[in-house]
Amino acid sequence: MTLRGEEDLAAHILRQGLDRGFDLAFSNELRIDHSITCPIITLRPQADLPIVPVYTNIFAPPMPQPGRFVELGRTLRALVESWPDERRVAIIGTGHLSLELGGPRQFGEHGPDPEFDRRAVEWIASGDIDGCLAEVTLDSLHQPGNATHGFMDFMLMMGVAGDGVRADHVDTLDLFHTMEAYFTWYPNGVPE
Amino acid sequence: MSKYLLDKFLFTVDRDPELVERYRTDPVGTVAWWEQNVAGQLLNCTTAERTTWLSFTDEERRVLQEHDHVALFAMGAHPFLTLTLFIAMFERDHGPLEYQRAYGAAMKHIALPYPDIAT
Repeated sequence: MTLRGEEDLAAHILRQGLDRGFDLAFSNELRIDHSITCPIITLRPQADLPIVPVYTNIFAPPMPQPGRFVELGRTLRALVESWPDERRVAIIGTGHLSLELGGPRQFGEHGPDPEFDRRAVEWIASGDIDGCLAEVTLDSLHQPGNATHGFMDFMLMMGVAGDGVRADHVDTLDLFHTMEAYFTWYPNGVPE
Repeated sequence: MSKYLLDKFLFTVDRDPELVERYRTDPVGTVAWWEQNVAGQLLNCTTAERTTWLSFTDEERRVLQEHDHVALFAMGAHPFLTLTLFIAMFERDHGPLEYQRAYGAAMKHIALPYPDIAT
């Protein structure tokens, strides 16, 4: 399956992102993975809209600091808003809560750290960026599960949404292995 | 010690289904072949040049030969690379999620902080 890229917006984000201090890289061909296909399947199964995949490193040390993810989110929002095109753009982020892969706490009956998950959902739902940044560090993210650094992509989305902005929709599913959480923000108000 | 070379082994084997099967059925022979033929390859570069400074310790070679995922974790091999390769090899012989759960259960004695995976 091929998902069409929106190259004009991608070029805008790449050029302006570089100019704003984010050393973004790009690829002319990209095998997209579940981080892209799952939200498409969930939100737009027709898969008929062009996309601009943005990947971050939440996988291989050294990783950027959590605050850098928030800053990238703020910048992405500003760049989308400054794109000289009238089309509507949805910024979709995928990350996860506490998660363990390849370690002793993997594939449990629920996520490895339900208390972290509860607090994380509250940070995101309430837009509590300062509270989140005060507690989350690259080191601390090892505690809830060795793959929990993917939470920083949720922090990126907090940066997109803005300080103190409550999510319009919050849903959590306490599933096997990891808690799934869904948040939606409507910058122009919840559609009728 | 070379966490990087362990990761390079796990990464390159996992990306080649034929090599995954060879490693499953003949780990000793595959590790020896890999050390001879792939360890020195500069990935995505010309094969006319080879890196020469990396090699496995005896212990690293042993854990790869013995499919010892617990020891790989303890050595700081990237746990995602180990997990995906080992699932590719061994899930086939188990019921749904049976292998993944046993994989975790074999590591129950490992406490935080986990080994550093930085290469």
